[in-house]
Amino acid sequence: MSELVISDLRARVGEKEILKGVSLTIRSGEVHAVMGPNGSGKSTLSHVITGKPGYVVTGGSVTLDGVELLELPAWERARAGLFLAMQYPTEVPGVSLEAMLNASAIEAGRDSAAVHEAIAAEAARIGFDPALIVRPLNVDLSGGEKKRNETVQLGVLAPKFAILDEIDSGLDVDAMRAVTRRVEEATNNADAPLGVLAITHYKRLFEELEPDHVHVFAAGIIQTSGGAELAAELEETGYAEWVDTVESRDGFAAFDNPFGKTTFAEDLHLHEG
Amino acid sequence: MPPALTLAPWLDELRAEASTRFDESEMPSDDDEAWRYSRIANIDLTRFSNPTSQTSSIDPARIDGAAATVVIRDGRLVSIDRSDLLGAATVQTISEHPDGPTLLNSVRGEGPDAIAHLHDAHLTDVIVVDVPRGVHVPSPIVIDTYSDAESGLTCPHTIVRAANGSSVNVLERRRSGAHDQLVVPVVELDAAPDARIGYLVIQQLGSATVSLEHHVSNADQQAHVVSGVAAFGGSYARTRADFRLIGRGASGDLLSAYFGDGSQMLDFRTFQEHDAPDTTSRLLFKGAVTGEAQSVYTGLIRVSENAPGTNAFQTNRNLKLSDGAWAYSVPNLEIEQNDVSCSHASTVGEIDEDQRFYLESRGVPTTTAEQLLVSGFFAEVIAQFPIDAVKVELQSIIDDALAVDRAGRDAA
Repeated sequence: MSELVISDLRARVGEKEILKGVSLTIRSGEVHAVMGPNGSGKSTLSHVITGKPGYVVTGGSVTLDGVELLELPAWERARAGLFLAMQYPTEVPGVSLEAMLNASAIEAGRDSAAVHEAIAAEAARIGFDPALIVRPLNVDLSGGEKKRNETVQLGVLAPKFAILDEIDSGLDVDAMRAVTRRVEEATNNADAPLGVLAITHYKRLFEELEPDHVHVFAAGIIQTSGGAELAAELEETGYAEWVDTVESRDGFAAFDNPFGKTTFAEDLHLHEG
Repeated sequence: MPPALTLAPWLDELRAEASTRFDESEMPSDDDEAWRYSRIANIDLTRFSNPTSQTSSIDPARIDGAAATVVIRDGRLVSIDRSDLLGAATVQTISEHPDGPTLLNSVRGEGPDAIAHLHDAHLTDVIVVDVPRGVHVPSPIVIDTYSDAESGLTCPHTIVRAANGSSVNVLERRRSGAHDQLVVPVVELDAAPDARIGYLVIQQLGSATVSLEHHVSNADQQAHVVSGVAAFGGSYARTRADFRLIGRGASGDLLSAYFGDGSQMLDFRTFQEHDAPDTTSRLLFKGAVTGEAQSVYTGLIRVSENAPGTNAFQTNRNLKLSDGAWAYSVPNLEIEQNDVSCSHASTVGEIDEDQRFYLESRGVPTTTAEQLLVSGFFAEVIAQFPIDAVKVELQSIIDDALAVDRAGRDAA
């Protein structure tokens, strides 16, 4: 049994404080949903935990089984058992999925010969086109293929904890089901159940992936927490309560108006019902 | 007792005339556009002379399946192994060649500046590859040059002539030892109608060698020329390429991969000259600089009024791998035709932070991630080089150079 403990985490970008004291504990096999409006700092939370450059941690800690992750470079956090499925997976020209996972396996002292088969098996499991395994990572892939690609990696790397940053954005129904099922299966793995921190706007992520805990995240902190029923409630009421009371006071615009000037694909899903 | 230079009398004459022309001509200066940002002002071209002895201590860099292998040491021919050369193709020195006097510089002409005269004045063994009409020589002909004389001046010269409907691949390896020296190579590629020439030079000169290389190619009707430069060595190593499309429907690719480290400068000047209708040229130059190294790329696409239906593309991408490195890139167009499709793009950037993070977030250590990214950056151009047998070697030359650089950085 493993434990990822986020404790009073604070971080800024430039002069702007984005995370204002986040505390959350995730254990193996648990699914925690972090839901909140755009611009609330949800993605920042995933980036700071996994060590993406560009953020300054100003306080708090993130430990995995007692090991302080914030002192480690990003790749060592991954080796410690952390995985990030990105909202917008980066296109990496000239580097294939297989080359990357081989390099990772070699570093971890694992048999890189087994990687090829592991990728093929994971790809078949979630319907990822095997031709894409040796093509440049994410280059010219559709939104659905990119998220399947992230999920193949999650399956091969078999981390202790996965942060899914809006893995439901840009996905069609089939890809959504394939991806969430695979994650759900990983959380039920009897030997090493995966712990999940799923960042999302929408409840539809949880049709296949059952959350144990739902946290409302706005204005850089967890505003409230509850069970799966909270996700349903949020779908009804939206985040207006926290956006209005907290964000506008901080000088933020309200980001979730579907008719306003919004840039991200997930806003389109609002109309899908 | 130095070996006497026994060249054909007409060559001796040509050398003497060129020597006079060199003495009378103005030295290139970095005021000239084609020499801007170069290190030419720091080089005393007159202090070098033909080596008086041969260094034979280095083994030829052979490749499996070569159609022929030519070995040249300190400017003089050592051997030509033609045992696997099939068909009626020939590989010989220009002194042996029946058309020698008219063939030499038939593609280049007098040359653009004093460096051409310097080259002609110090010419020694010129290699001519001749492929007759309709003959195909798919396995590469390899020319391996090496020099290592203190203050030596060597002027390798290769002429590749592909007659109508023929095809040939030529690989040159250009190496030198640690001595302070000057290398002034000329390469002439002449593709007759419907011919195909693939040419690649792998430049791994010593760190005290100055190199001023000139490539000139002519592609006639429906001919196709792929000309590549993989440049790694030299203190100051310059390649000027004049890529001419002179017959209707001619096409070609001008390619380069370069990696500069230490304090070296790699300098490239390209001229895509469209002088016939419906011609296509594609240029892709990709380079990386680290340490205190510098790179210069300037390129010109010139489309004459005789060349409607021209397609010309020019892309130069540079990776700057250290704070002290410097890359300069200027593409240019000069177009006297309305019916053209041209594009040019140039970038100088560092390793993409997001790409590195993506790999790191999968457990790939930083240095390995960078190696994968740099390797991937070059893969695009190496894939297009004409000689398949050296592609893996080129990737590993780059991987090794990067590993040395990163090890040096980690130690610092």
